[in-house]
Amino acid sequence: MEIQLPEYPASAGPAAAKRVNTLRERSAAARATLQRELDRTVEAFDRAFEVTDRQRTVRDRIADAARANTQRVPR
Amino acid sequence: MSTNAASPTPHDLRLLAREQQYGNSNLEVETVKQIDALVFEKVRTYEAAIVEAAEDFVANAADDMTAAKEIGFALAEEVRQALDSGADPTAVAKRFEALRRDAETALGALERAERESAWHAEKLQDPYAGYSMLMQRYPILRPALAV
Repeated sequence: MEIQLPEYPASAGPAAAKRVNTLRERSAAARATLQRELDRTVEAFDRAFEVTDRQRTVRDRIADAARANTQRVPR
Repeated sequence: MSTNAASPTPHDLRLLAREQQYGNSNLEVETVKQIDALVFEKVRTYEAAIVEAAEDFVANAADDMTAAKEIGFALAEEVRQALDSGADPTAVAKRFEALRRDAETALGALERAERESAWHAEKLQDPYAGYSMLMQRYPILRPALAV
């Protein structure tokens, strides 16, 4: 026959468990937010690089054209 | 109260106290009550220790969350806003790399905090079970309760 023992009357443990669980939720939220900030910043770099690449391409074409023009100038 | 590796676990001691033959019922009631009180006192000490450890852990993890928030703000204000306003990406790349390294550190710390939270919460939720498991794993720590 199984003996039924009186339960240990826990005091501060379960309340502290709630605080720790709250911390776990807040930590997960903070981690997701920071990861999102990182991703959004990388996307911003991507956009900015596209612009500079485009500008560079245009500048390169102008420079190429200028060089070509220079060569065409009769002596 | 000394420790004795050969002692039964505190939980088993409570069971043994109830299985013993006693001369009279008063002695039985008193002995069982005394054993329970002594074991509960031990669990209470253990509970206080794990609560203290959990409070320290919560305080440290709060620092990691504050750091994560600050790094997030810095990414938005110092890097993204600059890029969106037309800044040359090479001008803010160095700052971004420094922030990214710190962000990786913070992300790792937060991930660890989540894992450790689960570990702390399990023990805190049921201190009696945690204490019993500890006594099971480390017989040398078992108290020899003198009643």
